[in-house]
Amino acid sequence: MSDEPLLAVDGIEKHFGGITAVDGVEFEIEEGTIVGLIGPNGAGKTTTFKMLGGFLPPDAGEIRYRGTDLQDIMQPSRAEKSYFTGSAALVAGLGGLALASQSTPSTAIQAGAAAVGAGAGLGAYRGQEILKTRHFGHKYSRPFQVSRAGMMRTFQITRELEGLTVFENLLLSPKNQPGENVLKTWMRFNSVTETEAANHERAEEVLDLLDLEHLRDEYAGNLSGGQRKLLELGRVLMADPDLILLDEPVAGVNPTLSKTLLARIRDLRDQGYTFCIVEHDMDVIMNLSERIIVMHQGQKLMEGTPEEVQGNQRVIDAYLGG
Amino acid sequence: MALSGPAAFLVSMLTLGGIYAILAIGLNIQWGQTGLFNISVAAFWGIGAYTAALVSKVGGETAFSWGLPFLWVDVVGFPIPIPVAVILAAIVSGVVAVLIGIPTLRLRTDYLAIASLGLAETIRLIFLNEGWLTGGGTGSTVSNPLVDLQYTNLTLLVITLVVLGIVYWLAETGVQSPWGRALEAIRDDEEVAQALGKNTFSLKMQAFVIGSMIMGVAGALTALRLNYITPFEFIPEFTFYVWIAVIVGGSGSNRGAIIGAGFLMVLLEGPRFLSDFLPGLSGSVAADLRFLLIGLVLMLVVTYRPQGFLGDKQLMTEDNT
Repeated sequence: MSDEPLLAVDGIEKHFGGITAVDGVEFEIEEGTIVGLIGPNGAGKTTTFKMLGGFLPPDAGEIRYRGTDLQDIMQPSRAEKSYFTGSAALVAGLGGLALASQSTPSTAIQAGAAAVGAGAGLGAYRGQEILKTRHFGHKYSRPFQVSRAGMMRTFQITRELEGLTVFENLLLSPKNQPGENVLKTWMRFNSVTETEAANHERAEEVLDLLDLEHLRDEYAGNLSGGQRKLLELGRVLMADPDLILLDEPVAGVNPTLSKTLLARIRDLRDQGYTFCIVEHDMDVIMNLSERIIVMHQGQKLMEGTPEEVQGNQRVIDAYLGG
Repeated sequence: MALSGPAAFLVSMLTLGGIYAILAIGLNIQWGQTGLFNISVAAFWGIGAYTAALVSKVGGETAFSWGLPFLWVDVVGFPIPIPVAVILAAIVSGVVAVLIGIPTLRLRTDYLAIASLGLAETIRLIFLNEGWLTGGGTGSTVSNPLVDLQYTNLTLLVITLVVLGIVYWLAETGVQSPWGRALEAIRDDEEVAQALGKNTFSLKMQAFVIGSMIMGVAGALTALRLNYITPFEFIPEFTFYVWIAVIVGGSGSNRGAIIGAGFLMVLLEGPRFLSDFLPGLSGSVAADLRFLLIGLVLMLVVTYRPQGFLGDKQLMTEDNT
C-alpha cells in the first residue's frame, strides 16, 4: 500500500459516440509533486481531467486515489441506498393499498396488500440495482465524493458562483461544515457557529494571501478573469485537498499576477500539496512541473522531465501538426 | 362569529394573505434559494389541506363530548391538538416531496418545471378520483374545532400569523446559514458545488422537501379556513398566484415573499371595491378586473424592476453591465 502513488491512472478510455476522446491513458502522480498535462487542442486533456474528478465515468480502465478505485469512493453510502430502497417500498406499498381500497373495505386485506406491495417494491428496487451494477457495468459519477476524499479540480473557463460574494465563495468550500445540516442550524448547535468562525478566519487569511481583500464583499460575477482564477484557487485552498487539479490556472491572468500565482503554487507544493496542471502556456508548464505528460489524440505520447519533453521530436511534431 | 362587516373581511383577507405568504416562503426556498423551478405548489398545498381534513374526519363519536379544551381536532373519535394536525400535514407533504423528488430533482431546471406541472395535475386528479380517501369531487369536510369558538376568524388569523412567524424564522435562519450558502451555490452552478464536495442531490432534496412541507402547513391552515375542501381549491392557477407573489416580492428574499403575498391580496381582492367608487362599473366586471391588474403589474415589475421589490438585482438579471 505504501508504494501506491497518490493517484494512479490505469488505461482509462472514454468514447463519445464514434469519437474516442481518451484512449488508454495511464500515468501516476506522486505525492508532493507538480505534474503537467499538455497536448494540442482535442488531445483529451479536459476529458481526462473530468474523469479524474469523477465528473465522467471512464468507459474502461481504472483510476485509483490512494490505492482506492474512484468507483468505490463514489459508491452511495449505506444511508443513501436504504433511503432509495425505502422510497421504492413506500411507493409500491401505497400502490397496493390504493388498489385494495378500491375493491374491499377490509382493513386486514388492505394492510396485507400494502405489505405485499412494499415487499414487491423493495425486491424490484434491489433487483434492478443488482442487475445494473453487476450485469450492465453501471458506473457512478458522484464527483462530490471525490472532492471530499481530497482530490479537487478547478475549471478551464472559470466558473464562479456569481450570486455569492468573494467571501461567501471562499466560505462555501471547507469540508464537513456542521452548518450545512439545516437541523443543526435551527437547533443552534455550538459547533455551527464555532466552525463558521474558524472558517471566517481562514477565509480572511486566504483573501490576504491572494490579495483579494479589497474585493471581499464584491459579487464574484463582477470580478475580472484573472481575479476569478485567483478566487478559484482560493476556494480550493479553503477546502484543503491533497491533490489539486488545475485546468489552465493562468489563462487570461496578467503576467505579474500569474507570477504571484505560480509562486504560490510552488510554495504549496513545498508544503506537501500535490498538483496536476493542464496549461497551454509552455513557459509556465516547463518552469513549474517536475514531470510532464504529453497527450495527443487521446493517447499518452510520452512522459518525462521538462527537458526530455522539450527535446522530443514526436512532441514537436504533435504541436506543429506533424 | 362576533366580527362582522369590514372588520370580518379584513381579518379574512389577512388570514388568506398570511397563507399565501407561507406558501411564498416555501416556494422561495425552492426557487429563490436553490433554483428549483417547482410548479407543483398547489399540489403540496392540497396535500397539506387533505391531510388536515383526513386526520380531522368526523367519526361516529365526537371527541368534544369528552369536554376537552378547544383547539383539538377529531381523528375518527380520537382527539389530537391542532398543532399536531398541522405538523402531520407537513410530514405527509414532505414524504410526497421525497418520492416526487427522487425522479425529478435530477432533471435540469426547465424539465423539472414540466415534470412538476404534470405531477401537480396528477395529484389533483388523485384528489378528484380517489373518493374513498378524499371524498372525490364533492369534497371533504374538516371537523374544525375553531368554528365553535366565539372569534373563529380572529383565532385562525392569530394561528396563521404565529405559523407565519415560525416559518419565516426557520426559512431566514436556514438561508443565512452555511446550508443556505450551499443552496445558493447550487442555484448558481451545480457542477461547481459538486466540485466543492457538496452532495447537491441531497441538498436539493432538502430544499424541495422543506419548501413542500411549508406548503403543506399552509394547506392545513387552508383546511381550517375553508372548513370544507374540494379538489377545485387546488388547481394549477393558484400555483401561479404564489409564483407571482415570489416574483413581485423578489426571488431570494423571504421578506419579499411576505410583501409579495400582501400585494397579491390587494390585487386579488381590491378590485371588487372599485364598483363602490366608480359608478357604472358592475360588481362582476370589477371583480374580474383583478386578472387584468395582476397581468399588468407582473409586466411592469418584470420590465422595470426584474428583481422584484426586495430581490437582488445582481442575482436575477442575466446582464449586469
